[in-house]
Amino acid sequence: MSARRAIAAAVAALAALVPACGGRSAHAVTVFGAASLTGVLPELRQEFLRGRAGERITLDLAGTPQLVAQIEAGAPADVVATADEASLAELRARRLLDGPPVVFARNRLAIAVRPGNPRHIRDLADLAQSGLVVVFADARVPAGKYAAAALGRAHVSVHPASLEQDVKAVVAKVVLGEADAGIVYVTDVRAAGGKVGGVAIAASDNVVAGYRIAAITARGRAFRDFVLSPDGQRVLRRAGFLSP
Amino acid sequence: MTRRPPLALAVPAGLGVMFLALPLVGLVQRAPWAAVGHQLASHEVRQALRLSLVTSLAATALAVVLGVPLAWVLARVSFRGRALVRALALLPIVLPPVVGGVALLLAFGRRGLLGGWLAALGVRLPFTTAGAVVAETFVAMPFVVLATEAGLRSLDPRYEEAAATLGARPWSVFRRVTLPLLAPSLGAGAALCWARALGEFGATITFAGNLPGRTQTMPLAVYVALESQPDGAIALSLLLVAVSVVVLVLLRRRLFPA
Amino acid sequence: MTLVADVQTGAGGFSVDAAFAVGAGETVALVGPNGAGKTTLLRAVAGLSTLDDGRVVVGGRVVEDRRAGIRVPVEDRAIGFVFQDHALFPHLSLLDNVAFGLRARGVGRAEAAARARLRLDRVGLADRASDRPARLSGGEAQRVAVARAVAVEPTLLLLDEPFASLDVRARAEARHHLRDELAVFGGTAVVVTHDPVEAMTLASRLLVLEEGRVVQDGTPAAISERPRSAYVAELVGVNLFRGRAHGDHVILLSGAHLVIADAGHGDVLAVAHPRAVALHRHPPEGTPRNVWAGVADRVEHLGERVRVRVGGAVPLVAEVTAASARELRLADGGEVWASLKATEVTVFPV
Repeated sequence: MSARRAIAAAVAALAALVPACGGRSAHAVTVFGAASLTGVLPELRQEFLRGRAGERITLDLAGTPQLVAQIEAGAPADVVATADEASLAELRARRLLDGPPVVFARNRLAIAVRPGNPRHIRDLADLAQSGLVVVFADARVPAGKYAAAALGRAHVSVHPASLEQDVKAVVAKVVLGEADAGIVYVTDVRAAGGKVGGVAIAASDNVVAGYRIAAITARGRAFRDFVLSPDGQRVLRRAGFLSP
Repeated sequence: MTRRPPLALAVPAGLGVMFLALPLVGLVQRAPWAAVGHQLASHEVRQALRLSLVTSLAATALAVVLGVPLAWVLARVSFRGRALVRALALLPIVLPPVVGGVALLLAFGRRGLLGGWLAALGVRLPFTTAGAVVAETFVAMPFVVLATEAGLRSLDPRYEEAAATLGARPWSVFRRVTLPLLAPSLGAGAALCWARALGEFGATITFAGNLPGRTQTMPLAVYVALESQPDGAIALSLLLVAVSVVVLVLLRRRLFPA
Repeated sequence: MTLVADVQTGAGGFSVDAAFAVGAGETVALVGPNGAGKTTLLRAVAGLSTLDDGRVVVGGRVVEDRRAGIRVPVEDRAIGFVFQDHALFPHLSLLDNVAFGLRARGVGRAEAAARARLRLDRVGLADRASDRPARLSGGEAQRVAVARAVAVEPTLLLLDEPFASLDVRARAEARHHLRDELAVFGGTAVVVTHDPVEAMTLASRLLVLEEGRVVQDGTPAAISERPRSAYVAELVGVNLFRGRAHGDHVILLSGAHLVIADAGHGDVLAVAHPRAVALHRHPPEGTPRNVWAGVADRVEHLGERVRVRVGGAVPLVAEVTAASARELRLADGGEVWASLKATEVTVFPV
């Protein structure tokens, strides 16, 4: 057999495989969520599925820009929830959304510190101390953008040890003790339980993050609507998110 | 003898080639060729490139310094638990690099097993260039151990015995006979180690973090640039692919003896 | 005694239990069939493998004694070792190969190089000092290997089948070179071989090893006269004649003539198997041109064959069938004629 025929046969076999991989159940919904929703989305899913036997929800949690890039590349998401406005506006401009994005929660920043706050950090200005290991998220994820904005408002210049991939990685560095402090969301401090301490940021310096949700397919509408419903909002309040 | 391949082998073989080649084709096809030079000349890229070269070469040196003696012990000393030590030496190849990074934090991090001891010496690894070197060494050292041990095992022991009968002490035998005879295997192992270190991502970002100029090596820069500057990311990726291909071509005789 | 060894070892897959001694300046050939444990024994003496029990004394120094817990490492034993395939360092020049031991023993670079060059000069390879071993012929490599081993002036030199990797033609020349080298070396040497000619041309004494045990120990003449086993009879129990070749004949040391198909010229060793020697009660007629009168003075039965020692101007050993021994009534002794065909004699230059 010639090499050309072998390649042609290979292409045909490959093509035959594709539809088999693409089939999905009508009741399976994939939700793409920002990293800072890591704690609350499973709870929302649990509430949502209560009384909806036979339905399934798959969660894909990552930094917001990564989610956007995947959706633009055709990832099979049904709903997307991000911690900023710009990302969904971009997807909407590209006509990738089913309906407009809606604000479903708000969040504020806090300083995550070691339990018991051994370095006695009281405000953003204290993060500029020399010898203090401070991390925050890279400026391309919303948490990093907000952290930079808050430091700007407080007129504080901090040299970070690292610009982490998403806010969960910032929390992890403080939990592991590698960083003395990190700038995260209030809800992250709460979700970490006692593993990190939280230091509030003055309201005048703080930034309010608006979380937006949008359906991408018709299948995703029900979950979006649930998140906006009183039941969904109750779950979000419990996790420390502010009302929209 | 050249065989005509049966269909049952030719088809999966063709599929395999396509599977491996298509991502590279995609990369080449999407590359902003007109802008590649400009992209690679930017300050951020040159900074990442320089950092990658420094850390990967340092990691290779460290892997050789630690890996060659380890390979020698594995090949030449018979002891209880040797199989276990060998498995340990190769573990980073199969371990997810992010897990490796977390494990490194738990060992060499501030709160890690050796954290206090390192701090007393004034050494900090996480979030430092040295940390990036450690992460790359951890992931890439198995290639040095693997290639060197295989080289040692295929080395005729009589060269070393002859050196001993001539009065050479074990260290002198190693330095003047074993090491020179091992050079080809060691060179192949070091080159593979270097290529692996150059491409290291997961352990580095987990253990050393991501800070341009300090720990943001090329693969991290590719990842960071992926959404904001896809053209830059593709240009960097092409550079990494080119380096890997050059290493493999240079080593083809060693890796695939005819 | 330069070497006193009592070796029990299972290393190398052969069980060896052998005791022997080698006197100062003596060259001993360790002979035996394949798998007899010759190499295993040699390696144990050198310290390349460990003893299960026993002791090794070199030049009056105990280098290994299991019961006393003594084990001197290889590099401190002052035992030179020539490996079967020579094991020349492929990454070093001939000069650096020969200088290696001197350098390892702390001799300065310049002096080591000068002494190594002298050694290479002696084996006729000084002009190739900067060559790599890969470019040498088997015989040349063997010479360099011996030069390298003797360069450090070891108390004892061990040679493991030094000619095994050489083709037949190269062997005669290599044997010649080695004999000269050993003579110059002047030290004590043990040569492993399974070739009786090598053994007899190089050594003044043979040590026969079979299945890990020393079965016979003595001069070549004594052993070929009274082989104690079929193996020894087969391989070592041959007739050897030293002499000087003159074209088609050899003049033996006793003055007798030995006619050969093609003898060549110069000093030679002529070998004839006892089976090639025919015995007669009356002077034979016909083709054999080597006929000597003698007396059948010892008859030994080795299974179906009988070995007969014939004393006389040319002492030799004949091996005949039991039937012909009866027919000739050899057991009665008395005068016999021994004949040997010229084509049955092999000649080796020495």
